[in-house]
Amino acid sequence: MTELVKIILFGTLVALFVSVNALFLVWMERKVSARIQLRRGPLHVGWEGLLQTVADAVKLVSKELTLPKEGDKFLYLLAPALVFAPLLAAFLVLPLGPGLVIRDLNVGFLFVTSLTNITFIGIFIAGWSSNNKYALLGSMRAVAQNISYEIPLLLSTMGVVLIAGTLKMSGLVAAQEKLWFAALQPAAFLIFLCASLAEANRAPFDIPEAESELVAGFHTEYSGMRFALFFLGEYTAVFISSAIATTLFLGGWRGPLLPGPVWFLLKTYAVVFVVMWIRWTFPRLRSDQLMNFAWKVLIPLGIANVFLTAVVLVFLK
Amino acid sequence: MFKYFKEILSGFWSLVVGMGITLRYLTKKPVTLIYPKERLPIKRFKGPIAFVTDGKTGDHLCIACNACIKTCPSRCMSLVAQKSAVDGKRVLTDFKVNYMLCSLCSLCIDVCPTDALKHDDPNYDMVSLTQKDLVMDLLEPFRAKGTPLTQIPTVPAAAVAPKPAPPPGPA
Repeated sequence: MTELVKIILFGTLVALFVSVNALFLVWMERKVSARIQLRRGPLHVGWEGLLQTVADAVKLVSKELTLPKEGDKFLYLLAPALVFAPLLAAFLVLPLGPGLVIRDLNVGFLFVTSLTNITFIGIFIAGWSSNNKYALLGSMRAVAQNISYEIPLLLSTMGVVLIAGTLKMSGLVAAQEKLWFAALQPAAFLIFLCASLAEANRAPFDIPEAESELVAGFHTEYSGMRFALFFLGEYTAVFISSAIATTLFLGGWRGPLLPGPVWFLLKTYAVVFVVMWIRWTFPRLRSDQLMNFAWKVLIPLGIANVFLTAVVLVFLK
Repeated sequence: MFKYFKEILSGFWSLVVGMGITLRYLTKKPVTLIYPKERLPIKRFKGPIAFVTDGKTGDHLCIACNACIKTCPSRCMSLVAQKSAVDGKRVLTDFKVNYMLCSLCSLCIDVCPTDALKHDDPNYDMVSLTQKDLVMDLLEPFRAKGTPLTQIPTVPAAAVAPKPAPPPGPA
C-alpha cells in the first residue's frame, strides 16, 4: 500500500517538475538566444517575460488537433506518447541529493540510455505515420544520427565507470568525493557533451528537424498538444542529459555550503546553459559531416580514452 | 596521423573561439528599444508641421504673413489673425494644419520669412483613430504654456474686420 502511495506521489512530482522545467527552459532558451543576438527576448508577460511560455502553452492546448489524411492513425497517435513517456522514466535514477533517489538501480545510467532509445522509435513512428516526405526524411535522419551517436556516448561514460567501478548513480557520485571526473577525464566529458547534444537532437546536430530544409522534421504534421509533447520531450531530454553529465562528470550533488539538491540543480542548469550557448553559436552540420564527426572523431577518441584509462588503472594497481 | 590530430585540435580551437565571441555578445547590452516606452530621437525626419519655439522668449515666431498659406500646394493650412487691443498690430489667434492633406513638401518652411515653421522630428508615430486629431492646432502648446504672444488681448474680429481673410482651411 505504501508502495502505491509512493509511486503516485513520485509520479506526480516528476510530472509536475517536467512541465515546470520545460516552461522554464523554453524561457531560458529564448533569453539566452536573445542576449547572444543583442535582443531582449520575452519581456511583457510576467517578470521579464517569465510567463510567456505559459501563455504559449495555453495557446497550444487550445489549437485544433489535426490528423493527416493518408496517415496511419494508430501510430500517429502513439508516437508522441512513445517519445515522451520513456523520458519520464529517466527521473527514476537521477540522484538529487544524499539518499534522494527514487530507485538507486544497479545499472544506473545505462537504464536511462536504454530507455531514452525508445524515444527514437517514437520519432521514427512519428515520421512514418505522418505520411509526409519531410517528416519521413527527418525521422530517417534522426535514427541514423542516434545509432551513430549512441556509441561515443556510451564509450565516453566507460572511462568514468572504469575508475568508479560501479554503474550506480550514488556510487558514481561517491567516487567523485575528491576530484570531479571532468578533471580526470576531460576528453570523455567533451565527447559525452557532444554525443548527448546529438542524442537530444539539439543544434548543431539538429538535422532531424532542420527547419530550413525539412519544415519541422518528424513533427511536421503534428499540431496542438501533440506537438507540445514533442517539444516537452526535447527539453526534458536536454535536462536529463545535462543531469547525467552532472552526475557522471561534475560531482553530482556534492558542493560546499548549499544542500545537495540545490547544487545538483545549479550544476545541471549550468550544463543546460552551455548546451544553449552551443546551439546559438554554431551552424547546423550537414548530414555527412555529422556522420564523419561521429565515426572518425568521437568514436576513435572514445576508444582511445577507454584504452588509456584501463592501462593507467592496471599500472596503478 | 599527425594531420588528423592537428585537424581535431584546430577544429576544437575554432569552436572555442566561436563560443568566446557569443559569450562576449551575451554580456553586451541589448540594442533593442522597447518602443512605446523608449524612443529613439530621429534627426531630419519629416514629421508633421510644427512651430519653432524661440529659445529666448519660449514663444512662436509667426507674424501671420500668410506666405505659407499662399504657397501650400495642398492647401492644408489656415490661420486667423486679429487686431491687438493694445497696439493695433496683427496677432495670430489660430493656426491649423490639416495633416490629412499635407504632403510634407516643406515649401511652407522654406518660404517662411521668420523661420517659424519646422518638421516635428521626434513625432514619428502619427496615427489616430479619428480625423479630428489630424487637424492639428499649432498654437495649442503655446496656449497651454501661456506664452506672452498668446496672452495679448484682441479686438473682436467683427468689430474691426472690413475684410476678414477667409481661411482656405481644411476641406
